[in-house]
Amino acid sequence: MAPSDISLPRKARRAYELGRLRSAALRALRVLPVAALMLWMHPGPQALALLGVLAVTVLALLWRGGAYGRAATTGLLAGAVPLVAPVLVRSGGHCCIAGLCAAICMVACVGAGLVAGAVVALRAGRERGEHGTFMASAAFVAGLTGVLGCTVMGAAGILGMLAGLLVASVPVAVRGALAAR
Amino acid sequence: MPFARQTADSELEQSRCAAQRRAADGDLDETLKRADREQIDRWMTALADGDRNAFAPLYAALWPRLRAFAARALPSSADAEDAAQSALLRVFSRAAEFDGERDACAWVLGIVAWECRTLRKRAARRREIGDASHLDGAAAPGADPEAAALARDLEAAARAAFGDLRPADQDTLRRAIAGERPPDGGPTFRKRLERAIARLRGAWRSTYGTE
Repeated sequence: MAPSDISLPRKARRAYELGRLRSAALRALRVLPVAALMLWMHPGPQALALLGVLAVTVLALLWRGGAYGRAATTGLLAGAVPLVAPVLVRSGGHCCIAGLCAAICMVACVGAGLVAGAVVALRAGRERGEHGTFMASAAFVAGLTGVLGCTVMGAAGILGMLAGLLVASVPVAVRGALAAR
Repeated sequence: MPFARQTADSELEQSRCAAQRRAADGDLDETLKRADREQIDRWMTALADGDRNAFAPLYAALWPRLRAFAARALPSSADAEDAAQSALLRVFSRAAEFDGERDACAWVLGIVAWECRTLRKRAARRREIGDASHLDGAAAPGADPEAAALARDLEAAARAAFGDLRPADQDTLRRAIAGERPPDGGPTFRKRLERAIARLRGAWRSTYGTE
């Protein structure tokens, strides 16, 4: 084998990885609508920091590909529900007016978390193999996306949303893992 | 460009195009068997989805085929190697964008055919530039190694033809080249010189078949 033949597989592999990164960067632009929504609702350094983490996570997942890549898109869609829901409730005059409204807002966070979890779980059901990978990745992206919406309620709102996400998605993940055995 | 060379280039180009068409259309099955094509389809789809395990077998399947295709499409083995390498890197660079609904082999062969075409065009441009500089006399004599080698071959051939002449003819030609003509510039010497040149031409023609 000639020396050029030895280095050629390495060059080809590098070309492949760089090509994947380029393609992932283009597809990661899907974060832009979510970013615009986040910055419109919660302008400030907190939103920017979250956006940075979200963008890097989505880029990494799309570059890795497979179940990870598919989970990124699902996670963004599912996370948009808890991102928007508390704001919609509040704009309807049901939130943050006296103590009772705060409870409704909390319910909105938990409910949105449940919906997001259900979306992730339903989509994971269509995955062949790799249920766990898909669930974990999509839930992580959904959590990152939705967390900013529930900061209205402070840490309790965030925890409520994450709890809803887990409650709705874990049973499906367990069922997938059992079926895989 | 001389007409004979133009015709030869045109024939060469036609044969290359025909080889390429055969490889891309009818003879594709000869290059890639159906089972191989399906396997390559599966590997390419898996790689596009991010399955790195498909890289090694796909590389092993594609590289010899790309080389064979390029070798058929290009006359120079160095150019063929370059085209195959460029095509291979381009295929892997764009693997993430590959649409699983498409035929992977047709996609890959399209890329290598494009690379071959690009290299041929580049070579043709180089040749045209080389011809132009030769006509302009821009290149210094002996600067081009190919031209120097050609000149050496020509000189050796002329010496061989010269050696076939009779000593009297050789002497006449030597004197004419050195400018040692008789003081009276006699017609006898001119006649001898004409005969020596005619014999030299005859010797050249009989040895090399050309004027």
